[in-house]
Amino acid sequence: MPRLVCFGILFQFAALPALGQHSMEPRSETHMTIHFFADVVGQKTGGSIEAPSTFNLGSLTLFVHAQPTPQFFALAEVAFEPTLQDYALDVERLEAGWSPRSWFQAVIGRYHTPLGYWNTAFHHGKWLVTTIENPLLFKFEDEGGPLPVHTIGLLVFGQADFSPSVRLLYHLGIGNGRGATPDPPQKLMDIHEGKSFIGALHVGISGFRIGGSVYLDKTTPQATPGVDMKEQILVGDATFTTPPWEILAEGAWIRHEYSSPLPSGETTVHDYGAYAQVSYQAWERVRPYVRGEVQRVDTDDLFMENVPDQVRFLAGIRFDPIDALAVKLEGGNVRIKGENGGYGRFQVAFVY
Amino acid sequence: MVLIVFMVLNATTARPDFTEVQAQVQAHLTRGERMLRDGDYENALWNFQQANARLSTPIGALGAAECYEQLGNRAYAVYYYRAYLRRAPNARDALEIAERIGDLMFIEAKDGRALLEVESVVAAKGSVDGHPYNAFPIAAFLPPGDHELLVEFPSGPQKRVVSVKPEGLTTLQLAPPPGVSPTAASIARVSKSLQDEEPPVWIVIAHPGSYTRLSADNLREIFSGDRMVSLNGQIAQVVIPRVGSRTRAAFISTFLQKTEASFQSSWMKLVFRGGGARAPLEFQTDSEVVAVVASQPGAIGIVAADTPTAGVTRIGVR
Repeated sequence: MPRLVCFGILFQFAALPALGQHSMEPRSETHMTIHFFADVVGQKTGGSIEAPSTFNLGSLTLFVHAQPTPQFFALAEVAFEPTLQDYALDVERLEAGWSPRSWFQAVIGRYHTPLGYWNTAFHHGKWLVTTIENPLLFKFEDEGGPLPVHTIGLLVFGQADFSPSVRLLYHLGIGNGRGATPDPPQKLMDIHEGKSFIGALHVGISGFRIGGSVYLDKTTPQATPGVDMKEQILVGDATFTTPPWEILAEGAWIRHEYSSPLPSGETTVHDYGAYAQVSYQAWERVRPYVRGEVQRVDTDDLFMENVPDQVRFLAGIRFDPIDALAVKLEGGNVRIKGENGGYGRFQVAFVY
Repeated sequence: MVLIVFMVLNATTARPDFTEVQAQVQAHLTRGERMLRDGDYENALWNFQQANARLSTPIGALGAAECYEQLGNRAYAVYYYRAYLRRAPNARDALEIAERIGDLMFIEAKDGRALLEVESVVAAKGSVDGHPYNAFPIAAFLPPGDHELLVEFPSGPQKRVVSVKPEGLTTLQLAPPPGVSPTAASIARVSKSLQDEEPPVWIVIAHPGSYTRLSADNLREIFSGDRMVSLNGQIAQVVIPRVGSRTRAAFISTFLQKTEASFQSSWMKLVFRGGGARAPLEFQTDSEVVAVVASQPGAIGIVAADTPTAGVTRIGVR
């Protein structure tokens, strides 16, 4: 019943502006835009991770952006995620924003933690993303990702332009931080008084951007009852996104410090992750891409026990037959928990 | 087989003529550019006109336009700047040239004059209100209303009345008179000219207090929706005419070099990225665009060049 109510509210929310909205994005009287993103994947894996060929229904994501006045905006990103039996409703982002100046803006709500580039550049609609999947490092928490990519709290950020092509970007935020397990983010209450802190600083020169982010938090993992864990995360990123190039490189270092020794006798463990991706728009609607990525999780890190060690190389091509539709073909090799195998898959991602 | 041999021979014999013409055109263009740099505008113009008479090139049109502007002849300057945009619609300086056209037309419009352009298929002399012109095309700024056009074709004079529109420009293509047969080449040229879309002329306007000049690259960054851009600390708010506007269509296709759909999808990605980027505001008329740009800090817009721009800053493009 609560789900039906949610559907009803969303439907009403969506129906109002649709009456006066014809173009995809630019707005006039309504000051509101709504889009649905969806995707379907077909894949086959081989080697020691062989599995039956399968079709896979991606999440159906609703994006709503409203700007009632020039300085205030609201943004909602709601995903209907397929489960084995049903669909689960997940509010991925819900932001109320105030942007009086480019160098001082603030949002409150649930936002994508400004760790690196990917997490704030792309969101849940797969049409937005060049590749079929996020890098391992930026998988969402409910997909087994290692980073706290969602935060519920307050974020202050801005962009100072020193010249038309040189800019400084900063982010400062606090939030509920990690719960007892990496997923889900703490929506309703924090199990600790202390809050998570995120800070990021980047310099942009035309299409080139470089910088880093730091994330500090404390929690009590479910896997180590009564033992607190301090978390420090550093993410560095360098990107070049001037068409036709899209070159992304990011790396993260995660340090977990437990208040009592782990079974191995250690109190501090380290996890790492990194990826490099290059894509080039070879023709107007065709973009080949390659990516290499690695994720190393310390086996003693009980908080991350569901986040596997992985190495993956992939190459693919994205073709947009029309602007609202992307067809992606991809092949690669993945090594996960010592198992090794190749895969091939396609994705049809669209927006409407 | 005979036909093929004939065609090959014909092609090989025709090629040197064209090469020779190209060499002549290049020589005139080189001399014209050197003289233009040296400030010898009269002789530079003669060279550019010699080049234009032989071959329609963007450089020839641009050189002639710059010479005419330096010599104070705004009408012919506008005519050749427009010819340049027709010959090179995707030129990187297209917006800058469009701005110059807008500036020149604006100066004359303030004095109550609008542009008349007359082209002819065949060589002829002519006059407008008794003012003689030794050759076509004719370009003149005139008060709006009826004007007498006299054309002296080899077969005899023709007189007609031309009504100059109060805004923008009035163009006229003279058909060949009876008994005068234009060459196939000139028919093709005029036919193409008639089919060519006149490039709409737009200007960039911004809220007072922001930039007064921007580079073409910066302007593309602001309007393309690839990232959030600030204007003196204010988040840039793009304001444009609605879909269907000729100004909008030309700006997106020739300056941004995007399709309407890719323009919209870029903005969709940027807005849903979060981070304060503001979706473009669209309005039915240019005067509405001007009003919103005037009232909203950080606003920057595109309107047709002949739009009154009180209350906003006209942005020059480097």
